[in-house]
Amino acid sequence: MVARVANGGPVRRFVFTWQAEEFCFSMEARHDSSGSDESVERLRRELKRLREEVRRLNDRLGSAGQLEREAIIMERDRTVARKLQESLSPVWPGEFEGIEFAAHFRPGARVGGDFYDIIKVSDTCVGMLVADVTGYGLSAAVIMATARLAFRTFATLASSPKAILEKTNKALLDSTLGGDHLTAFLGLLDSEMLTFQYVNASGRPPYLLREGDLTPLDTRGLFVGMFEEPGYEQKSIQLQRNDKLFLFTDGLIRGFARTDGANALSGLQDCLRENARLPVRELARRVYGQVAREPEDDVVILTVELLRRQADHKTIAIPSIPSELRRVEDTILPALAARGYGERSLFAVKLALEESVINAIKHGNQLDSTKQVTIEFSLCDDETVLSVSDEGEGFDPQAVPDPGQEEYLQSFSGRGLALMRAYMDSVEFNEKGNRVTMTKRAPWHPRKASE
Amino acid sequence: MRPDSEPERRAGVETEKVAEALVIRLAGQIDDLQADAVGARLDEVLEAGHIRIVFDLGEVLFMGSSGLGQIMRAYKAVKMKGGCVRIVNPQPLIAEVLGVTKLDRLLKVYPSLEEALQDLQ
Repeated sequence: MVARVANGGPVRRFVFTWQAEEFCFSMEARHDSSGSDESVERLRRELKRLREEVRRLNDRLGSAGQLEREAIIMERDRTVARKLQESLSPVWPGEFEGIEFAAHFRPGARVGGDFYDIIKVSDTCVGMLVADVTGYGLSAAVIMATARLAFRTFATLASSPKAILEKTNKALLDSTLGGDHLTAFLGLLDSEMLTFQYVNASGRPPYLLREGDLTPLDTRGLFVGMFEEPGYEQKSIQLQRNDKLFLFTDGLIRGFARTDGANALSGLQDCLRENARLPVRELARRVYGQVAREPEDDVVILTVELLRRQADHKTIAIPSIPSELRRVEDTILPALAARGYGERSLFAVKLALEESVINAIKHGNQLDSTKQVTIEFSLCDDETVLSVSDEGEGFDPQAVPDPGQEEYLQSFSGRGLALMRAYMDSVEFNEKGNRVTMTKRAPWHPRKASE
Repeated sequence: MRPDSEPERRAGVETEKVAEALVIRLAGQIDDLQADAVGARLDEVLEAGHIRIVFDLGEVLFMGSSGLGQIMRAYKAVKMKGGCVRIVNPQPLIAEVLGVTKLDRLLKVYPSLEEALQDLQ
C-alpha cells in the first residue's frame, strides 16, 4: 500500500508505504517560493520521529518467533496508528481577531481515522475541517495522515473549499490506497467579511448556532477519494457576531444515545440548544463531557465563535459631588460618538447617565463626598453597557411609582427611572438596589434600529 | 469643575413680554448641574406675578428630570395664581422627553409662539 500526495506546482510529496510486515514511510517537502510553511515543517519532524519508532519495532521483528511476530505487528500497527493520529494534531492557527476556537479529540478504542484541522489560509481566512476515514486501525490512520497532508497542502494553494476538496479527492484517487475513503466537511471562514463558504462531502452536517437556534449546514457531495466526479456543491452564508459553528463526527452522537431509545442526534441537539449561549470553550466542554471515557469510536468536536468585539471598557470612580457628572460624560459620550452613535442615541445615553449618576450621588450616597460612585462602561460592536453603583443602602425600583400617572404628573421629581427605562434598551438593578446596569443597542443593530 | 465654562452647556433664561404673556426662553443644556440656577431665575421672574407664561424651548439642547422638575415648579406656582403655562417650539428630542414623561398632557405644547399666544387670548 502506497499513499502519495503531490501537487504539480511547488512540489510537496509525501509517501507512505505499508505492507503486512513492513511499514515505513518517507516524505519530501520541497517548499515553494512563497516561503515557510511551519505546519508542514512540523509534520515533517514529527513523522521523522515516528519513522524511527517504526524502525525500532521492525528490528524486533527480525529476531522474533512466529507467535511473537504477530503480537509485535499488532502492537506496532496500533502504536503507529495512535501516534499518527496524535502527531498530526492540528497546529493552532494563531490569533484571528474576534474569533475563538475550541476543539476536542478523543481516540476510540478501535483507532478510527477521525480528525480535524484548523488551517490558516491567509491573514483573514481560516479553514476548518472535520473528517472521518472509513475503517479502523493502521489503514485508517495512514489514509487520515495522507488526507490531512493533502488538505494542508492544497488549502494554501486553492481559493475555495470546493477546489481544495476536489484536489484532495484527486490526490487520494491517484494514490494507490484503493477503496478507502473519507467523509469531510470543509469550511473557509473570512474573519473580516464574516462569510463562511463550505462543502460537505457526505460528512455530518455541522450546526450554526444563532440566538439559541440550530441550523444544519449541508451540501451535496460524495466521499473523498472514491469517485472521479464527486459532485461537490459549495454554499456560502453570512455570519454575524455572536454566531457559533459546531462541527463534529459521528462518534460524538453515540455519547448521546439514550436507553429509552430516543434519537441520539436529538439528544445532542438539545444539549447544544441548552448551552448555545455559553462561551464557545464552555459549550465545547459541556458537550464533550457527555463522551465516554473510552469511546468505541473516535470523537471530534471543533467549534468556533465570532466574538463580540469589546473595543472599550472603562471604569470611572468619582466622589459624590454632582459636578463630577461632567467627567463621566466627557469620558463616555465622545467614545460613543466616535463609534458612530448618532444624536438621538447620544441624547439617550446622556440622559440615562445623568439620571443614574445624580441619583447615586444624591440619594444613594446622600452627597457624602467620601463615598464613591463607580461607573463602568463597555463599548461593544452592537451595544453599550453602562453600570452605575453607589455605596448607599439601595432602593426598591418596584416601589417607585409611574410618574405618568395622574396623581404624580405634577410632581417636581421622580421621573429619572422612567426616563432611563424609556431611553435605554434594558435597565436592571442588583438585588440590593444600589447598582443599575443599562444597555443601549448600537443604532445599526438589526434587532432595534434606534436612529 | 466649572459647569458654566462651556457656552453650549450654559443654560440660559431670557424673558420677553409679548402681548399679555411673558415668554421665557430657555436655552442650552438644562441638566442637573444647571437646574437649580434655572429654578432660582424662574422664581425671580415669576415673583412679578405673571400669570400667562410661555416657555420657548427652541434653544434647549438637553433636559432631564431635574429640568422638568423646575418647569413643574413654575407650573405649580403659576397655577396657584390661577394662571396658565404653555410650551412652544421644542426640538424633537425635547418634545420626546415631554411625551415620555406624559407632561405634554399637562402642559400644552405648541409648534410656534404665535399659535400659543393665539390660544392664550
